[in-house]
Order: sequence, then structure tokens, then C-alpha cells
Amino acid sequence: MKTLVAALTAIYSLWLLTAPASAQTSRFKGWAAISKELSTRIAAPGESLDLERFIPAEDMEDFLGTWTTFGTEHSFQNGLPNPLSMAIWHVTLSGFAKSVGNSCATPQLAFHPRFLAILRKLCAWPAPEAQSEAVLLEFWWSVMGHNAPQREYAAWRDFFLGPSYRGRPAAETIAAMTLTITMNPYLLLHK
Amino acid sequence: MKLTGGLASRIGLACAILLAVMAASLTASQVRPPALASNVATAFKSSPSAAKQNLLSVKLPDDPLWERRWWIEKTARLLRGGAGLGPDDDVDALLQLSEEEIARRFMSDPRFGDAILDFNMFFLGYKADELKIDGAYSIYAFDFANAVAASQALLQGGDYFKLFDLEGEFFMAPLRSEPLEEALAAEDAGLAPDQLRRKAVAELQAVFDDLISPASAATRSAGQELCRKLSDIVARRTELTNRVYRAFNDIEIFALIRGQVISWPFDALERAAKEGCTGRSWAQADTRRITTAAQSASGRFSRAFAEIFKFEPAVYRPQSVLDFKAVDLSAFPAKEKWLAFGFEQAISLQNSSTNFNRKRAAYILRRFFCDDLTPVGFEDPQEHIGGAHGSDTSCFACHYKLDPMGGFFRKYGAQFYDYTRSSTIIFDDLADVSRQKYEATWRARKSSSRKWNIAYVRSPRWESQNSYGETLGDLSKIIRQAPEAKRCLVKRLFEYITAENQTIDGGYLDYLTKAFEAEAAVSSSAAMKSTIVRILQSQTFHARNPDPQQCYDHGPDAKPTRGPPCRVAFILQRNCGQCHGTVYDGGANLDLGAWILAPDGRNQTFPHLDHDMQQLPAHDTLTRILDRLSSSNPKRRMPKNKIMSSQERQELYLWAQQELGRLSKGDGP
Ligand code: HEC
Ligand code: HEC
Repeated sequence: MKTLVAALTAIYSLWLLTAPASAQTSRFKGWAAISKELSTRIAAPGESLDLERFIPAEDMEDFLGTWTTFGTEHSFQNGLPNPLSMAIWHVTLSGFAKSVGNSCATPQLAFHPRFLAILRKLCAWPAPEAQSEAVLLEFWWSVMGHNAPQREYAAWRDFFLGPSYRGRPAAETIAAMTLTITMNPYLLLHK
Repeated sequence: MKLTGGLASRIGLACAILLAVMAASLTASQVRPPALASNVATAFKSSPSAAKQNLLSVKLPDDPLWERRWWIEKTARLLRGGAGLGPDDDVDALLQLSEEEIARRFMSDPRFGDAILDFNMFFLGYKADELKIDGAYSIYAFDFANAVAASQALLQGGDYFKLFDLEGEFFMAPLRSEPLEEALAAEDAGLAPDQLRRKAVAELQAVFDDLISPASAATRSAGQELCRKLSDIVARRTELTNRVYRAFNDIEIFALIRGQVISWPFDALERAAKEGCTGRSWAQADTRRITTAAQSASGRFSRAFAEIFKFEPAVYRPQSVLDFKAVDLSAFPAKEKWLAFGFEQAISLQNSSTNFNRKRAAYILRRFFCDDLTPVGFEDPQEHIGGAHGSDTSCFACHYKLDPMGGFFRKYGAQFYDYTRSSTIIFDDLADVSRQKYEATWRARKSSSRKWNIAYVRSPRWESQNSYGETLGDLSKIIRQAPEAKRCLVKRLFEYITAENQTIDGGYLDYLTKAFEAEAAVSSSAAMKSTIVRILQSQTFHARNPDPQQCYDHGPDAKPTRGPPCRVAFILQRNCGQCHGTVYDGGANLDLGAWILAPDGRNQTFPHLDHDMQQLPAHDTLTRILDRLSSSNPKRRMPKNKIMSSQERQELYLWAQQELGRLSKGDGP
């Protein structure tokens, strides 16, 4: 896990380094939008993933960006990343990532059959067939969608094929893969 | 550290990371895995200068196929109400289509109705996070009647400008299916929401029906008996009304009040009591008058609730925006048209006894005309200014527009309730006042040919520029006809599709608006769809991490020169260019079409020469521009003897102000 922590540390620190320098312009899409996006990609047809349960406390999703401010004209609130929102995202998405990682044996969420099929292949990790380009790319797309540029994928793939995760167990690796994709700014922010 | 473990440990992890980061952010480069981190860095950087560096530091161009998929993904999300590409979309097939074909395909998806409703609510200033909760539309999706009507029209090739109609249909949400927040009283214990509704309505119905039962009319002491019953009912009006309300939630009660579903029958009975009983001996009681009133009270009440019960969730479960059904308003005692301002607007756009509808007026200007009321002076009116703080010129800068706009709402008191039929009006602060006295605020001067001083005011000096009216119906027509409203709609659409703070070049906005207007003359819904397609095809929408200060798209005949910043370049060209096209133009020696290095050698400014033909510092030029824009002296006010739209004047003024602020802070460009 140390490596993952390092990766996430990098994300936070880069945010902290760039934020004060100039007005941050990219904003969160917001909790509702992200959970809808993820549901569209990986939930069973007609279902939505119950992601709410990973939010550490009730109404905390408002800190992740929200339009709904009843009683006044609405403007997007809490849209700029800050340490509090990043911490909430991290807790929430860690819970989700762990759930995905633990779904090799029994699915923990109402997944789409196509996503389950991709997941099953990845569950063979660290076996070589799970480390193929096709499997990794398919998994990346099914969680990230087409939000990020190719180089972002390449970096992610190389990281997991590198020494940190090459030989780790499937559940741990898949959780880390899911977390790094979902914490990626290309997913969370309007970019 | 492990990811596993309870909540506490996970929060602990996050905090630990943050603390570590804050302590050691400058050495973060030593811990980050190089590949991932550098990409993350690229993704998070978004300042203009960082963007420039990115261009240099990214060695490989982004794979065009990946970028196209990204465009499709974003487009799907926009046009399908947040649903991006999913496992059931055939991306490879989509890649074969042109951008326009892809956009049109998504627009024929049923989910497009949600996307448009979402945009309409954004336009009105009330966008929600989600329209559906657990697969069913939330009550707020129904709350903005004009947004719903316009969405339906767009899907059916109809009149999208219903969005501008401030009165029309009423789309009631399915009745409550959740339990109320308060616990039920003992007498209602165990009742489901629909059972409670039926019970509460039947109780009051029985009270009304009792007045018309043949038994009460047949007895000899009929008059006495009737008047006793009637006065009892009238006296218990509040209590009886609240007994019906106990089965409904706030938003439903709001509709019952506006529709006068309960108040109308009671008013009828009160009148009958006054005219048929009061002051008469029992024998003289006008039983026929009373019975007729009771019949109509009972009939109206039962008819209205028969209509309302058609919205029981057991029978009414709309699956798409097209399924939203309008109430048959002829079943309601109130008039035929329903005000577009719904429950949430009634709460957020309150009108106190001292506000004179200014909050509502500012809302209309901001939302339908994109006029944010930045005070930038005004042309001296030709006559002496009268009315509210008319003599105080700094106030007049906003109030010359605000006050006449407020007049359109003069009949509407608390919660937009229509007091037309009443001699007093009650406000949201619960104060009341005589309606005649109140409305006199908007009476035109005796010398005027108009009865009311109610208008969308463009110029206090040139009345012919203004659009006058009296009612909200008139205001709807004014908005429908106003070029400002169409331009505002297109601007908001651009912001909705790209980013709210994204600068748009005025020439490009003009181009989009002209095309929109031309197409809207034939079909407003087709025009809307084509405009969506155009914006999706724009450079802005194709740009990764666009800089909000930059303009990526320009009008068709834009000159590729290094002119002034794009936020104002077109405004200057349109309003000032003809007289300020060169410094050698005797008049002012000010060229507002060029942008050169300032004498300080750091900032940029307009070419502007003093008497000795020396370039003036940027600071002086900006100060003079601010002065000339906000002066109310027609000899000084720019553009000289020409009308400039209030929106553009505000934009230019704000820009000059910010530019000046930046200069005096000593920031570089
Ligand atoms: C920048 C534009 C602007 C200027 C300048 C301005 N007003 Fe207003 N005024 C508004 C707006 C907008 C409202 C409605 C505010 C609301 O209720 O949300 C308003 C409301 C009011 C109200 C009603 C307050 C209430 O709710 O009881 C009064 C009175 C008033 N203004 C007086 C003045 C006076 C006097 C001046 C000059 C000293 C002035 N205004 C200058 C924009 C302006
Ligand atoms: C119809 C012609 C005309 C238009 C249009 C016009 N101006 Fe002017 N402007 C003049 C003339 C003539 C002068 C010089 C006489 C004076 O000072 O009033 C002038 C002077 C100025 C000055 C003062 C320059 C100085 O050196 O003191 C400024 C600032 C200015 N204009 C800004 C603008 C801006 C901004 C616009 C567009 C919003 C604009 N003008 C549009 C004719 C025009």
C-alpha cells in the first residue's frame, strides 16, 4: 500500500502546489454527476450503484460539489478542490475501490454483466493473462470512461505493471487500480 | 498503512496523507512515482501560464482517436442527462459518424428530454444535481412549469420559447408517496399517504355536502338551521382547511392555495352567509341563495380534487419528460393560466412590503436578459426623474430598470399569490396594504400617454427604445420579442455546454445568435438543436482544460490581429470602432481596436496619444474609459450619441475596472 499512498500523496501535493499560484479553474463535476457516470458505465442495466453508502457521513456529498441549494438561486457550491473535499473523496472512493477489489469472489455491487466479465479476467492477477494490454485497457475504459487522454492510461498501466503491483494479490491490486482511476482529476473534474 | 479496516482508519489514512503533504509539499517530487505524477500534474494545472508550459512539456500529441472518444463521451453526458457512454453503446460505430450525426443521434434519445429540462432549469437559475432519485423524477423536476413546457416542446418540434412564458400550464408532481415528517395523529394512525388524502378530502366534502342535503332544506326551520350550520362552517374555516392540509406536503399545499381549491369554496360560503343570513331574521334567510352557494362550493371542491387525484403515484408515474402531464386547470376555481413561478421561486423570490418587487425584477433582468445590474450610470432622462429615489443619481443607475420591471408583478403578493380579486395585498413579510395605494407606485405621470410606468427599460432617455406593458402576459411577449433574451439564451447555452466562467467572444456570440434567430423564425426547437450542435463543434468544446479567459471561437469575419482581449474586443469594435479606429482621428487620439505594449514596458494598452502625441500610460486610458462609460452627461458619455446595450456597457466597464485593479496591484499580465 505504501506505493499507492505515495501516488495519492502526489495528487494532493500537486493540487496544493498549483492551487495558490492562480485561480483554479477546473471544478469538480460533483457527487451526483460522478455517481451517475460510474453507474452508467458499470451498473446493471436500469440499476444505479449504491455509492452513497461509501460516503462517510450523511449530507457529506454536498462538500463534493452541488447545485442544489434550496431557497436561493442555485450556483455550483464547493466546486473547487480543497483538503476537506479531497479527504471525503478519498474515503468514499476508497470504500468503493475496496468493494470492487473484493468482488472477485462475490460481486459486492449490482454490476453490469459486461463489467463483471472484465473484472473476472482481471481477478486472475498476478497471472500474466490478467496483465495483458487488452484486459488493462478494457478495465480502464470501463471505470474511467473516455475522460482521460491516452498518456494518462499509459502512466497508470506502467505503474501497475511495475515493481509495486506486478506480484501483489488481485483484491489489493484491483482496489488500488480502481482508486487511482477514480481519484484521477480527469474523472473528477471538468477537464 | 492499509486500506482495509473501519471508517476511522480510513479517515485516518486520508488525514495522514494530507498532513504529510502539507508538511512536505515541496519535497513531494521525491515521493511521487514519476510517470503518474507528471500526468497528474498536467491534469491539474490550469492557469494560463501553466497551460503554456503544458504545451511545451507534452511531447507526444494526444492520440486523435482517444480525443474523439473523449468528445463523444462528453457529448453523450451532455445530451443524455448525465449518462455518458455505457456498456450498451457501440463506440466503434459512433466513431464512424460525423460529430453532427452523433449529436443528433443523442438528441433523439429519450434522455435528451432530461438534458433539456436540466438546461432550462440552469437558464432559470435553479439547476438541480439530479432530476431523478431512485429512478423517479424528484418533485423539483416539476416545479418550473415553463422549463417543463419548453422541454416537451423541444422534443416534439414545438414552440421552445414557452421557456419565456411566465404563465401557462401546471405540471403537478405525483402526489406524495413518502410518509410526512411529523407523526400522524392517533385518528390517522396507520393510514398510507393516499388513504390519508382521501380521508381528509372526504371529511371536508361531507361538511360542504351537509349544507345541500335535502333533509336540511325540507324542515320548517330550514333557514334557521342552514344559517346556523353555515356560520359554524365559516367560523371553522381555518381549522377545516388545516384538516385537509394535514394530508399534504408543503409543495402540494402551495398548489392548493394558488389554485384556490379550498379558499374559493369557503369564500363563496362566506359571501352567502353575509348576504343570505347576516342581518336577517331566521325566517327571512335566503335559503336558495345559500343552497346555490353550497352546491357550487361542494361542486368546485370535488371537481378540483377529482383532478388532483389523477396524480396519485399509483396511476401517475412519468418515465420521461414527455410523460409529464398538465393539470386540467378548468377543474380548478382559479383562473385558467398557471404562473410559471413555482414553489422554490416563491420562497427564494420573496416580496416584502418595502421591496416593491425589486427582487423579482432583478431576477427577470438577470435570468432572461443577462443583465446583472452593474451600476454604470445612465443617460440623463430628458425629463426630470420622478419616483423612487429618482433624484439620487447613483441609485437610479440600477433602479431606472428595476422599478419599472417590478411593476409587472404588482398584483402578486406573498408567494406570488394573485391578489387581483382582493382590495388588499399581503406580502411575504405578512404586512398588508391597500392594493390601489400600492399599485399607484407604478402609475405613469399625468402628462404621459401611458397608464403605467411598467416596462423593460433600455434607456431612460429614449423611451422609444423601451418595451412597455402591464401584465405578466405582456412581459412574456416582451421577452419573446427581445433580441437580448435570445442572445442571453444562447450565451447561457454556451456556458452550460462549455463552462460557466468561460469567456465568449462577442463576435462568436453574435454569430451564434444570428443563426439561432434566423432558424427560430421557422422553428425554435430546430434552432435550439442546431445551436447545440454548433457549440458542440466549437473549438472551446474541443479544448482540453480551456483557459476561461481565452476565446477559442470567433465570428466568421474576425480579423486574426492581435487586438484587445477577447472579452471586450468585439464590444469595442461594435460600439466604439467607427470613431476610435485610429489614433490619428483628431477627435480623441484613441484607438480602441489595437492592443500594444504600454509605456511601462510590461503591460498592454490601447494606442492613446496626449496633446504632444505621446502614448498615455494604461492607467490613464482605463480611467478615462471608465469615466466616459459611466458619465450621465450626454456630452461626455460614450459611445457618443449612440445607444449601447446595457449588458455590453456593463461587461466593458467591469473589464476596465478589473484591468485597472490588476494594474494598480502591480500584477503582470
Ligand atoms: C447595483 C444596482 C443598485 C443600485 C446602485 C441601487 N440599488 Fe436599490 N436595489 C437593487 C436591487 C437588485 C434590489 C432588490 C434586492 C433584493 O431584494 O434582492 C434593490 C432594492 C432596493 C430597495 C428595496 C429594499 C427592500 O427590500 O425593502 C430599496 C429601498 C432600494 N433598493 C433603494 C436604493 C437606493 C436608495 C439606492 C441608492 C443609494 C439604491 N437602491 C441603489 C439594485 C440597486
Ligand atoms: C460617434 C463617434 C464615437 C463613438 C461611437 C465613440 N466615441 Fe469616444 N469619443 C468620440 C469623440 C469625438 C471624442 C473626443 C471628444 C470628447 O472628448 O468627447 C471621444 C472621446 C473618448 C474618450 C476620451 C479620450 C481622451 O483622450 O480623453 C474616451 C475614453 C472614449 N471616447 C471612449 C469611447 C468608448 C469606450 C467608446 C465605445 C463604447 C466610444 N468612445 C465610442 C467619439 C466617439
